[in-house]
Amino acid sequence: MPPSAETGIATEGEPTKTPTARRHQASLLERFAGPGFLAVMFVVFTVMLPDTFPTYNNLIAVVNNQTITAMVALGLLVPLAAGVFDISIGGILTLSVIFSTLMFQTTGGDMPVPVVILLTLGIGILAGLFNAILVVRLRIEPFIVTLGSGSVFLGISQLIANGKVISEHIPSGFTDLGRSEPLGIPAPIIYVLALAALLGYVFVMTPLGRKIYATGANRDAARLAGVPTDRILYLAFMTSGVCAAAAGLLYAMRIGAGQPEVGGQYLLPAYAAAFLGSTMIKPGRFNVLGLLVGLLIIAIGINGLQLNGIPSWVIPTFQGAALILAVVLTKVRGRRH
Amino acid sequence: MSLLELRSISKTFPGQRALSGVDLEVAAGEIHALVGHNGSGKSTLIKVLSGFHEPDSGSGPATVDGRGLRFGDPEGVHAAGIRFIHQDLGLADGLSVLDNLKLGTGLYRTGPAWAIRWRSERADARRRLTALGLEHLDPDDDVGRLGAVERTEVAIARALQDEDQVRVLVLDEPTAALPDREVGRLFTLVRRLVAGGVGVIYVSHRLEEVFDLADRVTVLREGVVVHASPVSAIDQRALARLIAGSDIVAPVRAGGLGDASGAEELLRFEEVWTEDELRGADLTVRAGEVVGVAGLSGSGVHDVPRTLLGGSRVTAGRITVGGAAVTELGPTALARLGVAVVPAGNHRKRIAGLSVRENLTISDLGPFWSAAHFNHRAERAEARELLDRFGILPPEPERPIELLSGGNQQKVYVARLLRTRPRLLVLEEPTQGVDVGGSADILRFIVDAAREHGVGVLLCSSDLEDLAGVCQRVLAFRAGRIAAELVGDAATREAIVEECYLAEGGPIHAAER
Repeated sequence: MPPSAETGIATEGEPTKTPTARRHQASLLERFAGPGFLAVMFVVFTVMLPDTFPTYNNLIAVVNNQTITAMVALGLLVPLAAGVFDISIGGILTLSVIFSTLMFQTTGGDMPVPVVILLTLGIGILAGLFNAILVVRLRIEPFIVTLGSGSVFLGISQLIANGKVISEHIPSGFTDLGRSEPLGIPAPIIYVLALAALLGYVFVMTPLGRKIYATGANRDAARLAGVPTDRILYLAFMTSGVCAAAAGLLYAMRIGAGQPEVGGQYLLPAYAAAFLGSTMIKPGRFNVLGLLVGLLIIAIGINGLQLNGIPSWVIPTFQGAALILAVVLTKVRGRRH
Repeated sequence: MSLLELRSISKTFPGQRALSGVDLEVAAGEIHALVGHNGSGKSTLIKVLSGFHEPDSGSGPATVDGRGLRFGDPEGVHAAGIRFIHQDLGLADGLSVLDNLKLGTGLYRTGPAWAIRWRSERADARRRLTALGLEHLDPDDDVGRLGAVERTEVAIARALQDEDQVRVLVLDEPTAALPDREVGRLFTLVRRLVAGGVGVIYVSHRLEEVFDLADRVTVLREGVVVHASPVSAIDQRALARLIAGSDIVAPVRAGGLGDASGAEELLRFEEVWTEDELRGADLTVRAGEVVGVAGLSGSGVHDVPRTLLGGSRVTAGRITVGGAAVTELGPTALARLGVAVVPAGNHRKRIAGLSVRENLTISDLGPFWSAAHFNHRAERAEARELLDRFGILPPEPERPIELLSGGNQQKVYVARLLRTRPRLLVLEEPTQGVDVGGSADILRFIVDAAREHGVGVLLCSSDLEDLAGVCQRVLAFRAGRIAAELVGDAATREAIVEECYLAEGGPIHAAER
C-alpha cells in the first residue's frame, strides 16, 4: 500500500479525495519487486559464471529439479488461500512414493501404469479427506491435525515399505513419464505448467477461486455471507492431498525407486515459495504466478551459490531465510495501512 | 456524608458527547442502582470511574471518604478501595478457583526453590470463601466448569479478597447471564457486603432488580442524569418512562407500507425453544412487512438471528419459511429458501483482505459466471452501480473494505444481501455504531425493499428510534418469549421500553428479602 492509505479512512458525508482507486491497490514496484529481484540475480550470476550458469542444460536442470517442490507447493496454495495450514503434504508425498512403487514391486511390474497412477492419486485424495474431516467436523486446529496426520502417513509408509528402499520391477512405461523430454523440455516441467495454468484459472477466473480467498480472509464472515466454507475446506485439503500424491508419483517416475523418508525435504521449500509468492504479483494473496517466481528465486539463488562453490549448508539456510523474509515483508506491508 | 462522590463528570468522544455534568453519590452501606438504555452513558461513567477513560477537563472532583481521586489512574482507584466486576467477569477458564482468585494479586506464597505452598494457599482461599458465605466453592474446581452463579461468585470473591480495604463495589450487569432463580443467591451476597458498610453501584437493565435490591436510583439518558432519588420515591412504570425519555417526536412511520395482514407468510416461529434464550417464542413475518423485535440483552432478541444462523440449537417448536418447516438452519441453507440474515458485529461480516467490490458480490457470483468464463467487467459494473445506489462512500470498488467507515461498511453488508434478492431479510442491530445519516440511509433501504419488492423484514434492534420509526409491528421479548405486540402507531419508543423493561406481576425476587 502507498503511505497515503492511512489517511484514506473515510468519514460519512465527506469522502477523502483520492484521485484514483488505484491508490489502494498494490503499486507496480510492490507487485514486481520479486520478478525484478529474480532478473537481477540472473544477471549477476551470468556475469560471475558466464560458462556454467547461463547454459541451457544448467537452467533446464535447475527448473526440472524444482518440479516436485512446485507440484507440492501448487497444491498447498489452495489450503493456504483458504486460510488453513496443511503440513501433512510431506507425509502424503512419501506415502504416494511408497504406495506406487510397492504396487509395481509386489505385482512384478504387471500392474497397469494408469491404474497405479489413479490409485495413488486416490490415496492422496483420501488423505486430504481425512484431514478435512478432522478440521471441519471436529473443529480441530488444521496445524495440529496435519502435523499429526503427516506423521501418521509417514509411519504407514515405513510400515508398508518395511523400512527398505523399493526399486524392483518398476516398469519403464512408468519411469518414462518422468524422464522423457518432448521437444527438449523435460516432461515434469510440462506437468507443472499445466497444473499451474489450471490452478491459476480456478483462482482468478472462477467463482470458486473467489470463495476460496473469502474463506481464507474471514471464514466466519464468509460463511455468514453464504459461502459454503466447510465444502471449501474439504476441497482445499483434498487438492493439497492429491497434488502431494502427484508430486510423489513424479518423484517415483524420476528416481525409479521409493525411499521411505523422502517427503520431509519438500515441506519447507514449498512453504517458502508459497509465502514468498504471496508478496508479489498480487501482494497479500497466495497466487500461482508469485509462487512460481518465488520458487525460481530460491532455486536459482541456491544454484548460483552452489556453482560459486558455496557449501551445502547454505541450502536450508537460504530456504528458511526466504520463508521468514516473506512473512516479514507481509507484516511490514500490513503495518503501512 | 457520602462514601463516593463524583461531581460534574463530562466525557466527549470525537463527534459525540457521552456524558455531560454527571453527578453521582454513593453512601456507605447503600446500594445505588445506575440505569439507562443502551448508549445512555452508563458504561462510559463506569469506565471514567475505573480510570479507563479520562474525563474532559473541568470534570470533578471525585472523592472517596473525602479524599480526592485522580482520574485516569486505575491503580489509584484500586488503592482507594474501589472494585469492579464487569459483565464478562474476566475469569480465566481452565484455571482453578484458587488460581483465579490469585490472578488479581499475582503473588503466591512460596517455599524452598520457589515452589508454591499449595497447602497454605488452599487453606487461605477456603477461609476467605467461607468468610464471604461461599463455602460451596472448592478452590480446586475448574472455573470453566462452574455454573453462571458460581462464576459470578468467584469474580466477587476475587474483587473482595482484601475485603477490609474495599469501600465501593461496582457491579456491571452481574445478572445478565444468570437465570432468574439464581439471582436471589447473588442478592444475598450483595446484601451481606452492604451490611458491612461497603457502598455498591449496581448497573442493571432489569428494573425489577432495582426495586428489589437498591436503595437509591440514578437514571442516565443521553449522558445526562435525568433522575436521582430513593427507590421508594418512584415506581417501575415511571422509571421506564424516564429511561425512554418523554421528549419523543411522533414516529416517522415509513410511508407507503400498507397493511400486510393478508400477504404471504414468509417466516413463522411456533413455540420455539432453544438451548440459549428462546422459551417458547412465537412470531410471524409476512411479505412486504417490517417487523421489529425489541428486548433487553438476554431476553431472546439476539437469539432469533442466532438461531436462524445455526448458532443456537432449537430444542422444541418449529420454524417455517414460506409455510414449509425448515429442516436445516444456517446461512447457506436459508439462502436457498430466499432468507438472508445480516448478523450484528462488523467482524462477522467484514471479509478483510477482499476489496469492497469482492465484499459486495461474494454472496452471489452466479451472474458473472457463464461458459467457464468469469466476467470481471460485469462484476465491476455492478459493484459501481451498488456503490452508487446505496450511497457508499467513497465510491471506489477496489478499496480494501477495512478502510471504509463503520456506517459505509454496514451499507456494504446490507447491499451484499439485498443484491441476492431475498424474500425475507433478517437484520440484527443494523445501525449499531452507525452515525445518524448512515442509519437513516440503511433504514430507507430496508423500507424500500419491503415496499418495492415485497421483501419481509425482521429487524432485531435495541435502537428504539429505529423500531418506532420504521416497523409496522414491534414484538417485545421478555424472558425468551414475546411479551407484547405493538401495532402501528402504538409502537412508540415509550411503549416499547415499557414492554421490554417491565416484568409482569411486579418484583419477582421479593421473597428473598
